[in-house]
Amino acid sequence: MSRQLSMLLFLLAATVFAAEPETVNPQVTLVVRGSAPPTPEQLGKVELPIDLRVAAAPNAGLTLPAPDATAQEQISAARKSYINADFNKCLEQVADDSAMTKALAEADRTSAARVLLWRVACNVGAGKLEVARRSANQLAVFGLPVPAEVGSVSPEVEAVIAKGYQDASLAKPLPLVITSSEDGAEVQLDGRTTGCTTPCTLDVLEGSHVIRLTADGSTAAHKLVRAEPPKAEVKVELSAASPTLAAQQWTHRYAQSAEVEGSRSVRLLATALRTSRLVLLTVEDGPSPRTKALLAVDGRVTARTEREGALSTELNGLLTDLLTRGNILEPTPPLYKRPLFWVAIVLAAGAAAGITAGVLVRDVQTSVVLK
Amino acid sequence: MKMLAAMLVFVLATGCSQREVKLTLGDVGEGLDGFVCKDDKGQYLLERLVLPDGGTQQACLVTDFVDLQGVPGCRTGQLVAWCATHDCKPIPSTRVTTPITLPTGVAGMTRRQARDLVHTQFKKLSDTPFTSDAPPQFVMARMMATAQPCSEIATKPDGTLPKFEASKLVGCAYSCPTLFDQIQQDVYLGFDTLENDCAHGVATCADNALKWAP
Repeated sequence: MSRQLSMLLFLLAATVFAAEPETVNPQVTLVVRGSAPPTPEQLGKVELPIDLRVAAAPNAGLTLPAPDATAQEQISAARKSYINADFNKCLEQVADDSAMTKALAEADRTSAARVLLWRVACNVGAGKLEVARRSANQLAVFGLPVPAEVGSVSPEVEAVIAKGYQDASLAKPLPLVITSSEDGAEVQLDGRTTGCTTPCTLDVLEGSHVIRLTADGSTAAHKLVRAEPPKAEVKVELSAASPTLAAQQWTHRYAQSAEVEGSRSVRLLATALRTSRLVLLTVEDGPSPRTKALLAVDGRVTARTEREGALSTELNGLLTDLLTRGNILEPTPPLYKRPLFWVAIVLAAGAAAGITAGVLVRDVQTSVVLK
Repeated sequence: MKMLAAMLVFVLATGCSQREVKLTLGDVGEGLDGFVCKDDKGQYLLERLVLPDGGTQQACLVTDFVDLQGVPGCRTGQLVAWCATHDCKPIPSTRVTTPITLPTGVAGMTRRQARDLVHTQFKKLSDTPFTSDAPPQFVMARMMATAQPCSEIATKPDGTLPKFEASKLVGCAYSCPTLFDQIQQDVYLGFDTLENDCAHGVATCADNALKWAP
Protein backbone atom coordinates (compact mmCIF):
# COMPACT_ATOMS: atom_id res chain seq x y z
CA MET A 1 0.00 0.00 0.00
CA SER A 2 2.83 2.39 0.90
CA ARG A 3 4.49 1.57 -2.42
CA GLN A 4 1.35 2.47 -4.32
CA LEU A 5 1.02 5.64 -2.30
CA SER A 6 4.62 6.59 -3.08
CA MET A 7 3.98 6.01 -6.76
CA LEU A 8 0.86 8.14 -6.61
CA LEU A 9 2.73 10.95 -4.87
CA PHE A 10 5.55 10.74 -7.40
CA LEU A 11 3.14 10.96 -10.31
CA LEU A 12 1.32 13.91 -8.77
CA ALA A 13 4.56 15.75 -8.03
CA ALA A 14 5.86 15.03 -11.52
CA THR A 15 2.66 16.38 -13.02
CA VAL A 16 2.80 19.52 -10.91
CA PHE A 17 6.44 20.25 -11.68
CA ALA A 18 6.16 19.34 -15.34
CA ALA A 19 3.33 21.82 -15.70
CA GLU A 20 5.39 24.56 -14.09
CA PRO A 21 6.98 26.61 -16.92
CA GLU A 22 10.53 27.86 -16.54
CA THR A 23 10.36 31.58 -15.86
CA VAL A 24 12.87 34.42 -15.87
CA ASN A 25 12.56 36.70 -12.90
CA PRO A 26 11.85 40.34 -13.77
CA GLN A 27 14.66 42.76 -13.01
CA VAL A 28 13.76 45.50 -10.56
CA THR A 29 15.99 48.44 -9.61
CA LEU A 30 15.73 49.67 -6.05
CA VAL A 31 16.65 53.21 -5.00
CA VAL A 32 16.51 54.20 -1.36
CA ARG A 33 16.30 57.79 -0.18
CA GLY A 34 16.62 59.08 3.36
CA SER A 35 18.43 56.05 4.63
CA ALA A 36 21.32 53.79 3.91
CA PRO A 37 20.57 51.26 1.20
CA PRO A 38 19.64 47.75 2.39
CA THR A 39 22.52 45.56 3.39
CA PRO A 40 23.17 42.32 1.51
CA GLU A 41 21.74 40.47 4.54
CA GLN A 42 18.51 42.46 4.33
CA LEU A 43 18.35 41.88 0.61
CA GLY A 44 18.89 38.19 1.22
CA LYS A 45 15.67 38.14 3.21
CA VAL A 46 13.73 39.35 0.21
CA GLU A 47 12.18 36.12 -0.97
CA LEU A 48 10.52 37.26 -4.13
CA PRO A 49 10.77 35.97 -7.70
CA ILE A 50 12.57 39.08 -8.88
CA ASP A 51 16.12 40.02 -9.79
CA LEU A 52 16.61 42.91 -7.37
CA ARG A 53 19.33 45.42 -8.16
CA VAL A 54 20.17 48.24 -5.75
CA ALA A 55 21.23 51.54 -7.28
CA ALA A 56 22.29 54.83 -5.76
CA ALA A 57 20.31 57.93 -6.58
CA PRO A 58 22.12 60.06 -9.18
CA ASN A 59 24.23 62.88 -7.84
CA ALA A 60 25.52 64.44 -11.03
CA GLY A 61 26.16 68.15 -11.33
CA LEU A 62 24.43 69.93 -14.18
CA THR A 63 26.92 70.54 -16.92
CA LEU A 64 26.07 73.79 -18.64
CA PRO A 65 27.18 74.09 -22.23
CA ALA A 66 30.19 76.32 -22.73
CA PRO A 67 29.29 79.77 -24.11
CA ASP A 68 29.62 79.92 -27.83
CA ALA A 69 32.65 82.04 -28.72
CA THR A 70 31.59 82.43 -32.32
CA ALA A 71 29.47 85.49 -31.60
CA GLN A 72 32.29 87.18 -29.72
CA GLU A 73 34.73 86.47 -32.53
CA GLN A 74 32.32 87.78 -35.14
CA ILE A 75 31.66 90.92 -33.13
CA SER A 76 35.35 91.55 -32.66
CA ALA A 77 36.15 91.01 -36.34
CA ALA A 78 33.17 93.14 -37.46
CA ARG A 79 34.16 95.97 -35.16
CA LYS A 80 37.69 95.91 -36.50
CA SER A 81 36.44 95.95 -40.10
CA TYR A 82 33.99 98.76 -39.29
CA ILE A 83 36.77 100.88 -37.84
CA ASN A 84 38.82 100.21 -40.95
CA ALA A 85 35.79 101.19 -42.99
CA ASP A 86 35.85 97.77 -44.65
CA PHE A 87 32.09 97.41 -44.48
CA ASN A 88 31.77 94.50 -46.85
CA LYS A 89 34.17 92.47 -44.78
CA CYS A 90 32.30 93.67 -41.72
CA LEU A 91 29.08 92.34 -43.18
CA GLU A 92 30.68 88.99 -43.91
CA GLN A 93 31.20 88.59 -40.18
CA VAL A 94 27.69 89.39 -38.96
CA ALA A 95 25.38 88.69 -41.92
CA ASP A 96 24.77 85.10 -40.82
CA ASP A 97 21.99 84.53 -38.28
CA SER A 98 23.42 81.37 -36.78
CA ALA A 99 25.69 82.96 -34.17
CA MET A 100 22.95 85.37 -33.10
CA THR A 101 20.40 82.53 -32.92
CA LYS A 102 22.70 80.40 -30.86
CA ALA A 103 23.40 83.27 -28.49
CA LEU A 104 19.71 83.84 -27.95
CA ALA A 105 19.12 80.10 -27.45
CA GLU A 106 21.74 80.24 -24.72
CA ALA A 107 20.07 83.32 -23.23
CA ASP A 108 23.10 85.40 -24.12
CA ARG A 109 21.01 88.35 -25.14
CA THR A 110 23.93 90.80 -24.89
CA SER A 111 25.95 88.99 -27.53
CA ALA A 112 22.90 88.72 -29.77
CA ALA A 113 22.31 92.45 -29.39
CA ARG A 114 25.91 93.25 -30.25
CA VAL A 115 25.79 91.08 -33.39
CA LEU A 116 22.72 92.94 -34.54
CA LEU A 117 24.23 96.33 -33.64
CA TRP A 118 27.25 95.70 -35.83
CA ARG A 119 25.05 94.31 -38.56
CA VAL A 120 23.16 97.62 -38.54
CA ALA A 121 26.36 99.63 -38.42
CA CYS A 122 28.05 97.71 -41.23
CA ASN A 123 24.96 97.95 -43.45
CA VAL A 124 24.70 101.68 -42.83
CA GLY A 125 28.38 102.04 -43.64
CA ALA A 126 27.90 99.96 -46.81
CA GLY A 127 24.97 102.14 -47.79
CA LYS A 128 22.44 99.33 -47.40
CA LEU A 129 20.01 101.37 -45.40
CA GLU A 130 16.99 99.14 -45.96
CA VAL A 131 18.83 96.09 -44.65
CA ALA A 132 20.14 98.20 -41.80
CA ARG A 133 16.61 99.26 -40.88
CA ARG A 134 15.41 95.67 -40.91
CA SER A 135 18.27 94.64 -38.64
CA ALA A 136 17.52 97.53 -36.31
CA ASN A 137 13.89 96.50 -36.28
CA GLN A 138 14.94 92.93 -35.48
CA LEU A 139 16.90 94.24 -32.51
CA ALA A 140 13.70 95.78 -31.23
CA VAL A 141 11.55 92.78 -32.12
CA PHE A 142 13.82 90.59 -30.04
CA GLY A 143 13.35 93.11 -27.26
CA LEU A 144 17.11 93.33 -26.84
CA PRO A 145 18.71 96.18 -24.97
CA VAL A 146 20.78 98.58 -27.03
CA PRO A 147 24.41 97.63 -26.39
CA ALA A 148 26.74 100.15 -24.82
CA GLU A 149 28.88 99.94 -27.96
CA VAL A 150 26.32 102.10 -29.73
CA GLY A 151 28.44 105.00 -28.55
CA SER A 152 31.26 103.92 -30.83
CA VAL A 153 29.23 103.94 -34.04
CA SER A 154 28.13 106.88 -36.14
CA PRO A 155 25.09 108.99 -35.22
CA GLU A 156 23.44 107.78 -38.38
CA VAL A 157 23.55 104.24 -37.08
CA GLU A 158 22.07 105.41 -33.82
CA ALA A 159 19.26 107.07 -35.71
CA VAL A 160 18.49 103.88 -37.64
CA ILE A 161 18.39 101.90 -34.43
CA ALA A 162 16.16 104.43 -32.75
CA LYS A 163 13.84 104.29 -35.71
CA GLY A 164 13.78 100.50 -35.46
CA TYR A 165 12.70 100.62 -31.83
CA GLN A 166 10.14 103.28 -32.63
CA ASP A 167 8.61 101.21 -35.42
CA ALA A 168 8.54 98.14 -33.22
CA SER A 169 6.76 99.97 -30.47
CA LEU A 170 3.98 100.83 -32.86
CA ALA A 171 3.63 97.29 -34.23
CA LYS A 172 0.69 95.12 -33.21
CA PRO A 173 1.55 91.81 -31.53
CA LEU A 174 0.40 88.59 -33.15
CA PRO A 175 -0.10 85.15 -31.60
CA LEU A 176 2.63 82.56 -31.91
CA VAL A 177 1.39 79.03 -31.21
CA ILE A 178 4.15 76.82 -29.87
CA THR A 179 3.88 73.04 -29.72
CA SER A 180 6.40 70.29 -29.19
CA SER A 181 6.72 66.56 -29.66
CA GLU A 182 6.50 66.19 -25.87
CA ASP A 183 3.97 68.35 -24.08
CA GLY A 184 5.01 70.26 -21.00
CA ALA A 185 8.27 71.66 -22.31
CA GLU A 186 9.26 75.04 -20.92
CA VAL A 187 9.40 77.78 -23.55
CA GLN A 188 12.14 80.37 -23.78
CA LEU A 189 11.52 83.21 -26.22
CA ASP A 190 14.41 85.20 -27.56
CA GLY A 191 16.59 84.27 -24.63
CA ARG A 192 14.00 85.05 -21.96
CA THR A 193 11.93 82.67 -19.89
CA THR A 194 8.22 82.96 -20.49
CA GLY A 195 6.49 80.77 -17.89
CA CYS A 196 4.76 79.09 -20.77
CA THR A 197 4.81 75.33 -21.26
CA THR A 198 3.85 73.61 -24.46
CA PRO A 199 1.39 73.71 -26.00
CA CYS A 200 0.94 77.42 -25.50
CA THR A 201 0.56 80.70 -27.32
CA LEU A 202 2.69 83.81 -26.90
CA ASP A 203 2.07 87.31 -28.26
CA VAL A 204 5.07 88.38 -30.30
CA LEU A 205 5.95 91.16 -32.69
CA GLU A 206 6.15 90.43 -36.36
CA GLY A 207 9.62 89.25 -37.31
CA SER A 208 12.07 86.52 -36.40
CA HIS A 209 12.14 84.90 -32.98
CA VAL A 210 14.22 82.24 -31.34
CA ILE A 211 12.21 79.59 -29.53
CA ARG A 212 14.00 77.27 -27.14
CA LEU A 213 12.31 74.38 -25.41
CA THR A 214 13.59 72.50 -22.38
CA ALA A 215 11.95 69.48 -20.78
CA ASP A 216 12.87 66.83 -18.24
CA GLY A 217 14.05 63.74 -20.02
CA SER A 218 14.66 65.58 -23.27
CA THR A 219 17.55 67.34 -24.87
CA ALA A 220 16.96 71.08 -25.18
CA ALA A 221 16.12 72.28 -28.73
CA HIS A 222 15.78 75.68 -30.32
CA LYS A 223 14.40 77.03 -33.54
CA LEU A 224 14.49 80.36 -35.38
CA VAL A 225 10.96 81.11 -36.56
CA ARG A 226 9.40 83.88 -38.62
CA ALA A 227 6.22 85.34 -37.15
CA GLU A 228 3.96 86.97 -39.69
CA PRO A 229 0.36 88.10 -39.45
CA PRO A 230 -2.19 87.00 -38.80
CA LYS A 231 -0.88 84.04 -36.79
CA ALA A 232 2.30 82.02 -36.52
CA GLU A 233 2.85 78.44 -35.47
CA VAL A 234 5.93 76.47 -34.62
CA LYS A 235 6.48 72.90 -33.58
CA VAL A 236 9.75 71.85 -32.01
CA GLU A 237 10.88 68.23 -31.98
CA LEU A 238 12.50 67.14 -28.76
CA SER A 239 14.85 64.19 -28.61
CA ALA A 240 15.10 61.94 -25.56
CA ALA A 241 17.80 62.79 -23.09
CA SER A 242 20.68 60.42 -22.59
CA PRO A 243 20.89 58.68 -19.19
CA THR A 244 23.76 60.99 -18.29
CA LEU A 245 21.74 64.09 -19.09
CA ALA A 246 18.71 62.64 -17.33
CA ALA A 247 20.84 62.03 -14.24
CA GLN A 248 22.04 65.65 -14.35
CA GLN A 249 18.51 66.95 -14.80
CA TRP A 250 17.16 64.79 -11.97
CA THR A 251 19.94 65.83 -9.61
CA HIS A 252 19.46 69.49 -10.46
CA ARG A 253 15.70 69.55 -10.32
CA TYR A 254 14.43 66.79 -8.04
CA ALA A 255 17.16 65.36 -5.82
CA GLN A 256 16.37 67.82 -3.04
CA SER A 257 12.87 68.65 -4.15
CA ALA A 258 9.59 67.83 -2.45
CA GLU A 259 8.41 66.60 -5.81
CA VAL A 260 10.92 63.80 -5.89
CA GLU A 261 8.12 61.23 -5.87
CA GLY A 262 6.23 62.97 -8.64
CA SER A 263 5.70 61.32 -11.97
CA ARG A 264 8.21 63.55 -13.81
CA SER A 265 10.91 62.94 -11.25
CA VAL A 266 10.36 59.19 -11.35
CA ARG A 267 10.36 59.09 -15.11
CA LEU A 268 13.60 61.04 -15.21
CA LEU A 269 15.14 58.82 -12.56
CA ALA A 270 14.17 55.68 -14.48
CA THR A 271 15.83 57.09 -17.58
CA ALA A 272 18.92 58.06 -15.61
CA LEU A 273 19.22 54.57 -14.13
CA ARG A 274 18.39 52.82 -17.43
CA THR A 275 15.70 50.71 -15.81
CA SER A 276 12.22 49.82 -16.90
CA ARG A 277 11.12 48.77 -13.41
CA LEU A 278 12.07 51.20 -10.69
CA VAL A 279 11.22 51.03 -7.01
CA LEU A 280 11.86 54.24 -5.11
CA LEU A 281 11.84 53.95 -1.34
CA THR A 282 11.73 57.07 0.81
CA VAL A 283 12.59 56.31 4.40
CA GLU A 284 11.48 58.67 7.14
CA ASP A 285 13.54 57.80 10.20
CA GLY A 286 12.67 58.86 13.68
CA PRO A 287 10.77 57.51 16.66
CA SER A 288 8.13 56.04 14.37
CA PRO A 289 9.91 55.10 11.16
CA ARG A 290 7.90 55.10 8.01
CA THR A 291 8.74 54.01 4.49
CA LYS A 292 6.99 55.19 1.37
CA ALA A 293 7.45 53.25 -1.80
CA LEU A 294 6.49 53.65 -5.39
CA LEU A 295 6.88 51.51 -8.45
CA ALA A 296 7.46 52.94 -11.90
CA VAL A 297 7.20 50.75 -14.96
CA ASP A 298 8.62 52.22 -18.14
CA GLY A 299 8.79 55.61 -16.43
CA ARG A 300 5.16 55.64 -15.29
CA VAL A 301 4.16 55.30 -11.67
CA THR A 302 1.97 52.20 -11.43
CA ALA A 303 1.75 51.62 -7.69
CA ARG A 304 2.37 53.35 -4.40
CA THR A 305 2.33 52.06 -0.85
CA GLU A 306 3.72 52.88 2.53
CA ARG A 307 4.39 51.12 5.79
CA GLU A 308 5.26 51.92 9.34
CA GLY A 309 8.32 50.26 10.74
CA ALA A 310 11.99 49.97 10.00
CA LEU A 311 13.07 49.24 6.47
CA SER A 312 15.08 46.24 7.66
CA THR A 313 11.93 44.47 8.84
CA GLU A 314 9.43 45.74 6.33
CA LEU A 315 11.39 45.45 3.11
CA ASN A 316 10.07 42.06 2.02
CA GLY A 317 6.45 42.86 2.80
CA LEU A 318 6.71 46.31 1.28
CA LEU A 319 8.14 45.01 -1.97
CA THR A 320 5.62 42.18 -2.11
CA ASP A 321 2.75 44.59 -1.69
CA LEU A 322 4.14 47.12 -4.15
CA LEU A 323 5.10 44.68 -6.88
CA THR A 324 1.80 42.85 -6.60
CA ARG A 325 -0.13 46.09 -6.92
CA GLY A 326 2.01 47.01 -9.90
CA ASN A 327 1.35 43.64 -11.54
CA ILE A 328 5.03 42.73 -11.54
CA LEU A 329 4.23 39.80 -9.28
CA GLU A 330 1.23 37.57 -9.58
CA PRO A 331 -1.09 38.03 -6.63
CA THR A 332 -1.22 35.04 -4.35
CA PRO A 333 -3.68 32.72 -6.07
CA PRO A 334 -6.77 31.54 -4.23
CA LEU A 335 -6.34 28.25 -2.44
CA TYR A 336 -8.33 26.32 -5.00
CA LYS A 337 -6.02 27.46 -7.80
CA ARG A 338 -2.91 26.01 -6.21
CA PRO A 339 -1.86 22.58 -7.51
CA LEU A 340 -0.71 21.52 -4.07
CA PHE A 341 -4.18 22.17 -2.75
CA TRP A 342 -5.61 19.59 -5.11
CA VAL A 343 -2.80 17.19 -4.35
CA ALA A 344 -3.65 17.56 -0.68
CA ILE A 345 -7.35 17.11 -1.44
CA VAL A 346 -6.69 13.93 -3.39
CA LEU A 347 -4.47 12.59 -0.64
CA ALA A 348 -6.96 13.54 2.04
CA ALA A 349 -9.77 11.92 0.08
CA GLY A 350 -7.66 8.82 -0.38
CA ALA A 351 -6.82 8.76 3.29
CA ALA A 352 -10.47 9.26 4.21
CA ALA A 353 -11.49 6.46 1.88
CA GLY A 354 -8.78 4.29 3.35
CA ILE A 355 -9.92 5.01 6.88
CA THR A 356 -13.53 4.41 5.97
CA ALA A 357 -12.66 1.17 4.26
CA GLY A 358 -10.46 0.26 7.17
CA VAL A 359 -13.28 0.88 9.60
CA LEU A 360 -15.98 -0.75 7.51
CA VAL A 361 -13.92 -3.66 6.27
CA ARG A 362 -11.70 -3.98 9.23
CA ASP A 363 -9.51 -7.01 9.10
CA VAL A 364 -9.79 -8.57 12.54
CA GLN A 365 -7.70 -11.58 13.36
CA THR A 366 -9.21 -13.54 16.21
CA SER A 367 -7.26 -16.41 17.64
CA VAL A 368 -9.22 -19.08 19.48
CA VAL A 369 -7.73 -21.06 22.32
CA LEU A 370 -9.06 -23.50 24.85
CA LYS A 371 -9.48 -21.98 28.23
CA MET B 1 1.51 16.96 5.27
CA LYS B 2 2.14 15.79 8.82
CA MET B 3 -1.56 15.44 9.28
CA LEU B 4 -1.84 13.31 6.17
CA ALA B 5 1.02 11.13 7.29
CA ALA B 6 -0.64 10.69 10.67
CA MET B 7 -3.89 9.70 8.98
CA LEU B 8 -2.09 7.17 6.82
CA VAL B 9 -0.35 5.72 9.83
CA PHE B 10 -3.72 5.53 11.53
CA VAL B 11 -5.19 3.70 8.56
CA LEU B 12 -2.32 1.28 8.46
CA ALA B 13 -2.41 0.84 12.17
CA THR B 14 -6.12 0.25 12.30
CA GLY B 15 -6.29 -1.84 9.16
CA CYS B 16 -5.80 -5.01 11.20
CA SER B 17 -6.33 -5.82 14.85
CA GLN B 18 -5.44 -8.88 16.90
CA ARG B 19 -7.68 -10.37 19.55
CA GLU B 20 -8.07 -13.66 21.37
CA VAL B 21 -11.19 -15.58 22.29
CA LYS B 22 -11.15 -18.49 24.68
CA LEU B 23 -13.29 -21.59 24.40
CA THR B 24 -14.58 -22.81 27.74
CA LEU B 25 -16.18 -26.03 28.79
CA GLY B 26 -17.51 -24.52 32.00
CA ASP B 27 -15.81 -23.97 35.31
CA VAL B 28 -16.46 -27.53 36.41
CA GLY B 29 -16.58 -29.09 32.99
CA GLU B 30 -20.35 -28.89 32.68
CA GLY B 31 -19.93 -28.44 28.93
CA LEU B 32 -18.49 -31.96 28.69
CA ASP B 33 -21.79 -33.81 28.98
CA GLY B 34 -21.40 -34.80 25.34
CA PHE B 35 -18.26 -36.75 26.29
CA VAL B 36 -20.03 -38.96 28.81
CA CYS B 37 -22.80 -40.27 26.59
CA LYS B 38 -23.70 -43.92 26.49
CA ASP B 39 -24.67 -45.99 23.47
CA ASP B 40 -27.74 -48.16 23.01
CA LYS B 41 -26.02 -50.89 24.98
CA GLY B 42 -25.55 -48.60 27.93
CA GLN B 43 -21.79 -48.28 27.48
CA TYR B 44 -19.94 -45.00 27.69
CA LEU B 45 -18.65 -43.92 24.31
CA LEU B 46 -15.33 -43.38 26.07
CA GLU B 47 -15.00 -47.18 26.14
CA ARG B 48 -14.52 -47.06 22.36
CA LEU B 49 -10.94 -46.10 23.18
CA VAL B 50 -10.34 -49.56 24.62
CA LEU B 51 -8.58 -51.78 22.17
CA PRO B 52 -9.62 -55.40 21.58
CA ASP B 53 -6.54 -56.56 23.41
CA GLY B 54 -7.58 -54.61 26.46
CA GLY B 55 -5.23 -51.75 25.90
CA THR B 56 -6.32 -48.15 25.36
CA GLN B 57 -5.66 -45.62 22.66
CA GLN B 58 -5.60 -41.87 22.50
CA ALA B 59 -8.59 -40.10 21.12
CA CYS B 60 -8.32 -37.46 18.44
CA LEU B 61 -9.87 -34.16 19.38
CA VAL B 62 -11.17 -32.53 16.21
CA THR B 63 -12.07 -28.84 16.31
CA ASP B 64 -14.13 -27.36 13.49
CA PHE B 65 -15.77 -24.05 12.78
CA VAL B 66 -19.08 -24.83 11.12
CA ASP B 67 -20.46 -22.29 8.70
CA LEU B 68 -24.18 -22.12 9.38
CA GLN B 69 -25.02 -19.77 6.50
CA GLY B 70 -26.85 -17.56 8.93
CA VAL B 71 -27.63 -17.09 12.58
CA PRO B 72 -29.95 -19.76 13.90
CA GLY B 73 -30.94 -20.32 17.50
CA CYS B 74 -28.67 -22.14 19.86
CA ARG B 75 -30.62 -25.17 21.07
CA THR B 76 -30.04 -28.52 19.44
CA GLY B 77 -33.47 -28.63 17.91
CA GLN B 78 -33.07 -25.17 16.47
CA LEU B 79 -29.69 -25.99 15.00
CA VAL B 80 -30.85 -29.23 13.44
CA ALA B 81 -33.96 -27.57 12.05
CA TRP B 82 -31.87 -24.73 10.61
CA CYS B 83 -29.35 -27.03 9.00
CA ALA B 84 -32.13 -29.10 7.47
CA THR B 85 -32.77 -26.15 5.17
CA HIS B 86 -29.35 -24.52 5.04
CA ASP B 87 -26.01 -25.66 3.79
CA CYS B 88 -24.31 -26.06 7.13
CA LYS B 89 -20.76 -27.34 6.77
CA PRO B 90 -17.41 -27.22 8.55
CA ILE B 91 -14.84 -24.92 6.99
CA PRO B 92 -12.07 -27.32 5.92
CA SER B 93 -9.23 -24.88 6.44
CA THR B 94 -10.15 -24.41 10.06
CA ARG B 95 -10.04 -28.05 11.16
CA VAL B 96 -7.50 -28.74 13.86
CA THR B 97 -6.79 -32.23 15.20
CA THR B 98 -5.18 -32.76 18.58
CA PRO B 99 -4.43 -36.13 20.24
CA ILE B 100 -5.94 -36.32 23.68
CA THR B 101 -5.90 -38.97 26.33
CA LEU B 102 -9.40 -39.54 27.62
CA PRO B 103 -10.35 -41.75 30.52
CA THR B 104 -11.48 -45.35 29.98
CA GLY B 105 -12.67 -47.89 32.46
CA VAL B 106 -15.41 -45.59 33.55
CA ALA B 107 -18.22 -48.09 33.21
CA GLY B 108 -19.06 -48.15 36.86
CA MET B 109 -18.86 -44.42 37.35
CA THR B 110 -21.61 -41.90 37.40
CA ARG B 111 -21.77 -39.39 34.56
CA ARG B 112 -20.48 -36.73 36.93
CA GLN B 113 -17.52 -38.80 37.97
CA ALA B 114 -16.68 -39.69 34.38
CA ARG B 115 -17.11 -36.06 33.31
CA ASP B 116 -14.70 -34.91 36.02
CA LEU B 117 -12.10 -37.26 34.69
CA VAL B 118 -12.68 -36.04 31.18
CA HIS B 119 -12.46 -32.48 32.45
CA THR B 120 -9.13 -33.22 34.05
CA GLN B 121 -7.78 -34.36 30.69
CA PHE B 122 -9.15 -31.33 28.90
CA LYS B 123 -7.48 -29.06 31.40
CA LYS B 124 -4.20 -30.39 30.11
CA LEU B 125 -5.02 -28.83 26.79
CA SER B 126 -5.49 -25.42 28.34
CA ASP B 127 -4.21 -22.63 26.05
CA THR B 128 -4.05 -24.95 23.09
CA PRO B 129 -4.65 -22.74 20.05
CA PHE B 130 -7.25 -23.89 17.55
CA THR B 131 -6.93 -21.10 15.05
CA SER B 132 -5.11 -17.83 14.70
CA ASP B 133 -7.80 -16.31 12.53
CA ALA B 134 -11.36 -17.28 13.24
CA PRO B 135 -13.86 -17.01 10.36
CA PRO B 136 -15.32 -13.52 10.02
CA GLN B 137 -18.93 -14.74 9.90
CA PHE B 138 -21.25 -16.38 12.40
CA VAL B 139 -20.02 -19.93 12.94
CA MET B 140 -20.51 -22.72 15.40
CA ALA B 141 -17.38 -24.03 17.11
CA ARG B 142 -17.51 -27.81 17.37
CA MET B 143 -15.22 -30.11 19.28
CA MET B 144 -15.43 -33.82 18.48
CA ALA B 145 -13.52 -36.69 20.04
CA THR B 146 -13.07 -39.84 17.98
CA ALA B 147 -11.22 -43.10 18.26
CA GLN B 148 -10.06 -42.56 14.71
CA PRO B 149 -6.43 -41.53 14.35
CA CYS B 150 -5.93 -37.83 13.76
CA SER B 151 -4.18 -38.57 10.47
CA GLU B 152 -7.32 -40.23 9.27
CA ILE B 153 -9.70 -37.47 10.13
CA ALA B 154 -7.58 -34.43 9.30
CA THR B 155 -8.39 -32.25 6.30
CA LYS B 156 -7.36 -34.02 3.12
CA PRO B 157 -4.77 -32.50 0.78
CA ASP B 158 -7.56 -31.79 -1.69
CA GLY B 159 -9.26 -29.61 0.92
CA THR B 160 -12.13 -31.96 1.67
CA LEU B 161 -13.07 -33.28 5.09
CA PRO B 162 -13.27 -37.00 5.83
CA LYS B 163 -16.46 -38.20 7.48
CA PHE B 164 -16.40 -39.39 11.05
CA GLU B 165 -17.02 -43.05 11.58
CA ALA B 166 -20.13 -43.10 13.71
CA SER B 167 -18.95 -46.20 15.56
CA LYS B 168 -15.77 -44.48 16.70
CA LEU B 169 -17.26 -41.25 17.99
CA VAL B 170 -16.38 -40.59 21.62
CA GLY B 171 -17.88 -37.25 22.43
CA CYS B 172 -18.96 -33.82 21.27
CA ALA B 173 -19.37 -30.24 22.44
CA TYR B 174 -20.42 -27.23 20.44
CA SER B 175 -21.08 -23.54 20.77
CA CYS B 176 -23.92 -21.26 19.91
CA PRO B 177 -23.59 -19.46 16.57
CA THR B 178 -20.88 -16.94 17.33
CA LEU B 179 -19.13 -14.05 15.58
CA PHE B 180 -15.68 -14.60 16.99
CA ASP B 181 -14.37 -11.29 15.68
CA GLN B 182 -16.76 -9.39 17.90
CA ILE B 183 -17.75 -11.51 20.85
CA GLN B 184 -16.72 -9.97 24.12
CA GLN B 185 -16.74 -13.08 26.33
CA ASP B 186 -15.42 -16.64 26.41
CA VAL B 187 -17.31 -18.95 24.10
CA TYR B 188 -19.00 -21.77 25.92
CA LEU B 189 -19.02 -25.23 24.41
CA GLY B 190 -21.61 -27.64 25.68
CA PHE B 191 -23.99 -30.41 24.73
CA ASP B 192 -27.76 -30.44 25.24
CA THR B 193 -28.82 -33.67 26.84
CA LEU B 194 -30.75 -34.68 29.87
CA GLU B 195 -30.09 -38.38 29.78
CA ASN B 196 -27.28 -40.87 29.50
CA ASP B 197 -28.17 -42.30 26.14
CA CYS B 198 -27.06 -39.44 24.02
CA ALA B 199 -24.89 -41.26 21.50
CA HIS B 200 -27.42 -40.37 18.85
CA GLY B 201 -26.92 -36.69 19.58
CA VAL B 202 -23.17 -37.14 19.33
CA ALA B 203 -23.64 -38.70 15.89
CA THR B 204 -25.77 -35.79 14.77
CA CYS B 205 -23.16 -33.40 16.14
CA ALA B 206 -20.50 -35.23 14.15
CA ASP B 207 -22.38 -35.07 10.90
CA ASN B 208 -20.67 -32.62 8.63
CA ALA B 209 -24.04 -31.24 7.61
CA LEU B 210 -25.45 -31.45 11.12
CA LYS B 211 -28.25 -33.58 9.75
CA TRP B 212 -30.26 -35.61 12.12
CA ALA B 213 -28.86 -39.11 11.98
CA PRO B 214 -31.74 -41.54 12.47
